[in-house]
Amino acid sequence: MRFSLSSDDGGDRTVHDEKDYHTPPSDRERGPVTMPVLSSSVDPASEVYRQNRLAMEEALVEVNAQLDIARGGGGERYVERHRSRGKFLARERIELLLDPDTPFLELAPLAAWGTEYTVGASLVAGIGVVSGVECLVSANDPTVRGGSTNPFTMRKSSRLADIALENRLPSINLVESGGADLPTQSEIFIPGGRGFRDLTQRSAAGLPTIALVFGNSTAGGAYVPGMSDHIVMIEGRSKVFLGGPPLVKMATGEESDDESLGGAEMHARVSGLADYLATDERDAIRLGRAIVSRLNWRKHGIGPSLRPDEPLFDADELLGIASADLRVPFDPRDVLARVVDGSSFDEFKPLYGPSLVTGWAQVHGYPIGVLANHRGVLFSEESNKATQFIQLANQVDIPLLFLQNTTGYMVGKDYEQRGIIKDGAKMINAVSNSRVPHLTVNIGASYGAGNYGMCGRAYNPRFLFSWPNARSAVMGPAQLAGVLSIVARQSAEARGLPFDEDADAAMRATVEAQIEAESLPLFLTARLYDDGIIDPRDTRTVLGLCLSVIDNNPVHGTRGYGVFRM
Amino acid sequence: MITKLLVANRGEIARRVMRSAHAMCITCVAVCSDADVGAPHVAEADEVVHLTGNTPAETYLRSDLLVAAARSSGADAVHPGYGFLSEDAAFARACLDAGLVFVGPPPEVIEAMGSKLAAKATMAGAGVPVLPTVRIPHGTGEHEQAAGGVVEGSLDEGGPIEHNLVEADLIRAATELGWPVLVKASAGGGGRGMRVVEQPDELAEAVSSAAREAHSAFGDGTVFLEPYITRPRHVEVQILGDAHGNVVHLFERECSIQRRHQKIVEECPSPALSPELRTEMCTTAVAAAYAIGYVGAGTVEFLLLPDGRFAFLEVNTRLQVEHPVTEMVTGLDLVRLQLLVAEGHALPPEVLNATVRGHAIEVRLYAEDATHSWRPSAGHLHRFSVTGGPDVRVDSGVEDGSDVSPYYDPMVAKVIAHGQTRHEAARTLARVLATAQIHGVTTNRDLLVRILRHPEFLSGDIDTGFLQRHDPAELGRPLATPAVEQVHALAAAVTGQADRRRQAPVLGGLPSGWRNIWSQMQTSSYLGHGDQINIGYRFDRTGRCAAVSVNGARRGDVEVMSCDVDAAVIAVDAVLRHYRVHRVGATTWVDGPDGCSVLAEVPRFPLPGSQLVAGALVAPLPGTVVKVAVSVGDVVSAGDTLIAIEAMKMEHEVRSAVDGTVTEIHVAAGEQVEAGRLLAVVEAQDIGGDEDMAG
Repeated sequence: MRFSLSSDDGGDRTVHDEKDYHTPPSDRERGPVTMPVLSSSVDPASEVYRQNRLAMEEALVEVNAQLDIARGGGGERYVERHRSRGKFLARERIELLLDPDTPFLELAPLAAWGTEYTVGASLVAGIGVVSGVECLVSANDPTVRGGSTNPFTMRKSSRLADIALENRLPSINLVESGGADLPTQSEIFIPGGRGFRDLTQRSAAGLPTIALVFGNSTAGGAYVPGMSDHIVMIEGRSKVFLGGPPLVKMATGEESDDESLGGAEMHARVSGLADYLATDERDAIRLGRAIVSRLNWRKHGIGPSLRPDEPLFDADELLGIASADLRVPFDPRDVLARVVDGSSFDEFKPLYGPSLVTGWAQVHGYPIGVLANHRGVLFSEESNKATQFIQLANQVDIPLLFLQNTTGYMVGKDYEQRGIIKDGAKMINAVSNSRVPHLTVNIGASYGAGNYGMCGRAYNPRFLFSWPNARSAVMGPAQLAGVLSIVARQSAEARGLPFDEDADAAMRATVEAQIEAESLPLFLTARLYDDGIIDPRDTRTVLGLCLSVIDNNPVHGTRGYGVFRM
Repeated sequence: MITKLLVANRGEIARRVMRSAHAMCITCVAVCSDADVGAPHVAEADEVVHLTGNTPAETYLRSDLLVAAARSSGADAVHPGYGFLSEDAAFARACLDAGLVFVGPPPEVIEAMGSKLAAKATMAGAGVPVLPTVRIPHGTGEHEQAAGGVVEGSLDEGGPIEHNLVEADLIRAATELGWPVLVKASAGGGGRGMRVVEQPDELAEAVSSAAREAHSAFGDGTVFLEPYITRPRHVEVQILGDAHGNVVHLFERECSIQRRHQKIVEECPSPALSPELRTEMCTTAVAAAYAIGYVGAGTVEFLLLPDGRFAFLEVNTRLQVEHPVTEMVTGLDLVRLQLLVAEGHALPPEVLNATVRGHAIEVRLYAEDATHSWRPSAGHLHRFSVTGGPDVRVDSGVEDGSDVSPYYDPMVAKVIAHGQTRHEAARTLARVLATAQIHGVTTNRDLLVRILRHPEFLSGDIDTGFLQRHDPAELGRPLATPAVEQVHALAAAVTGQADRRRQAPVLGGLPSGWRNIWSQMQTSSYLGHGDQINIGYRFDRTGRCAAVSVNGARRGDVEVMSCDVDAAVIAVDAVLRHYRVHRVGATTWVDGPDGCSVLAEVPRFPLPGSQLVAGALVAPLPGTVVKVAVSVGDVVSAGDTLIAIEAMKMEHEVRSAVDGTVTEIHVAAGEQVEAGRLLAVVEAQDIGGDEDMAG
């Protein structure tokens, strides 16, 4: 379907209903099936594109500045001190652990942004390839308060545990942590126990857990290696004990030292807690890689089934597609043309419910079903179309990709009377009970119940990422402030009180600013409401990686559904 | 008529002979030692007779086995090639006795020319200029002054000089020749049994050591003295005779570029000869050939003195290694002509009317390290690819996957180029060599390229002292400079990257080294000729190499334009160069227009065992010491077995990790040891500079 800029004005899109598929070139043919190929309406020379791109680049600069901070760990002083001890930094350990030249998707890198804790939550984690196996790798950052666990570290760890379990990933923990951040123990101690339970439950589920202990791993931290299947300790470096010499002295009066309580040699030769004794950090990483190479790991999915052609259009142009002004809709097909294999997209029900684009495509050879908001609002037709489409994907075991840019379900008398709640509920029912893996990317707006229908965080997509321009909240800041204002005005009228226009304006400004701040991607990613903010140009790569990760399990759609309200 | 030819040789010359024989529809029988079973000359033969053993003495020098092979295979002729038995009159005779055609001159001629002393005498008699000679009959203490004296300054003719005061008379005779003198073995060749003596007091020792060497190498310890000519040229004349009394010359070859008295660069025509001198030398050679009744292909070697005079050296009664240069300029096939003559044919008209067209230069590619005293190098040739246009000829004994064995001559190939002029031929040959892919053994390739591009060589003003004046260690150093080697290491790194991406079991389709948060470069480290090279690189989301570092420093002047598994295009200061890359295990070869590098990848994760304190040897497992192979004070090399421990019915060898001296031994045979027990200590010895190992 081709969309073009109208000729008279500066960029409002005109919707054309007629289909206008490119005839694909013959060398793109696969057997007798001719794949329809998306065209692009993006004009990089246009003013709209320039404005969009400018806004996106500004947003990226802001995100990248925060990533720089995260990369810096505990700051120069602590990094220097760590290095002077002959130790690798957390990211250096991970880089050395990963197979050379393989991709690594860091998860929740900006967790704890805007809080009293260091950006990144003293934990570096992601999915990478070790000895040919996709693994969940996480490393304490010992330059941030000794790698200790704060409430955001805990939330990030929990999310990582879910990812490992849902996607059947072996986990490798690069441990160097002083345990709980004691001043915040009240927030950590009781819920934090989950981490150890997760480890052993993953093991029970057949997911190997490996701990490479680079330094201190004491008190509660001792159970991270303790609950792991495979443990590597480093001569003269690793220290794993429940209580250190001072605590032991206090508890029993026994005089002791670090080495006899929890040194690597002791654990390797006496307690048996350490399975392997490494000579240094590099050697520990070598042993970790060797352990993974002996896991006899097989992915249970069927692998990519289609040829992963590159898109026909330049991914760089993704920076200029998402509208700088959230109120201006943009065509998600222009995004798909730069994300899916060969820019090839078979659209489902293109003429029905056109505010939501649905269809079939593939990314890096993995088939996907796509649901993408086009003109923000979800009507009854869009809801019904989505419901059917989700069912179809479940019938043939195809994962779903949700590209969010929605302001929510339509409100108004006509729509209420035509059953928008019933139709929205059907869509949410279908999303909730769908058993094929979901991937969600917020490429614009994600407001109201649209966030639920389009598989927001609460609907457990396997992965959820945001573009830097994205916003998410119960409703837009202006609308929310306006609603409050109207309610206040009605309340004043009902009580016969005068309405203070100035106070109302001030209130609206304050509320708008607050909601705007709280719907920003940095705010949301800080709270683990997504798995990270991604550069739009990386969308295809991130999705390809996630689909491969998902493929560690077979895809089985649900065959039954909850009762659909008709 | 010859119908089946036994080629009593190996390597490139066996292939060369078979090529012509096959073209004449003659069936070829190869022989091969154990080590040569898989050699190309075996694969190309119609039939093969295997000679058990590896050393030449067990195989290619066994006259009896070769004649038996000819008989059993039904061959009716034998071509000896060069080297081995090619100038062995007894072998020629054995062939004839067995009713076989021997492709070469009659045994009597071989015999007559086999002794340098006798040959000189014969030639002097035929009016061929020779250098004066002082004969020293081996073992008799009797010194005899031989006939000679054609060239100026030669000694007067005279009878034998009675000589009891060996040294004094020797010195007197040598002084008459003029210092320095050259001690030569009469039965010698290839520089063995040859000594240059500068000082009288060194003479006696030089004579006896040369005699010893000659005796052990040739079974004949006869040595003699000649004046040592400084800066001579080596010019030889190709001759060809038939059984009908015709003898012609096929012009000269200049072979003055030599290392250790062995030719490495040969050419035709010689840049030193005026037409008059050429005529004179060639005519002299033909006269010499007539004098001895020469039949077949042979070569009369001369020394050409700086003043234009020349003196007979010897006659090679066989095909020369360097015969291709003659073929390239005359268009003749010397092996074919040898076979025709052996069949009794008269020399064809094209031989009688041969002319020289253009210029041809040959180089001998040796598996040896020119920078380390020509140390021979053996090993597996992972790739051997020397390619050129129609003006280039490659006569090789090897191909991709061949093993260069330590048992035989280390020459792996000859490369010959033809040009309208000498400069053109040299330029073509240098380029062909410089762009050749020779992977797996060290060769003298870079030395040859530098010689061919050397102003002195190009001027034509060359002599046999070229490699004494110009340090082989300098000429032979890699064409790739240390700075170029860094670029080659980058090519190795990024192509290795491409290879890993292609073989990736998962996520292979994603951009190389992709990160959503980039923190450091991908790294690969290599060892080449110099210091370790640490390469860093980063590919961006579009698959373009966005950044490069060498030894930690960003290199904005270097850009990877493209890379695949086995090729890369890299720009340095905006000059693009194509590199071909070949990997086997941890070794990478990079070939480019700026030279070739061999790079060993430094392992990312060295095994802890390899990091043990050098020299301390511990028991790898509990067991019984069954052997202590060394004593305190013994000098050992890395890899030497010092101690053997038997455990679980298996013998485990404990080897030295370093070159050094055994300083401690803590166990004795029969002793039980536990794992980790210190067994012995080897004190590493400082590795000195580039010592001349071969002397």
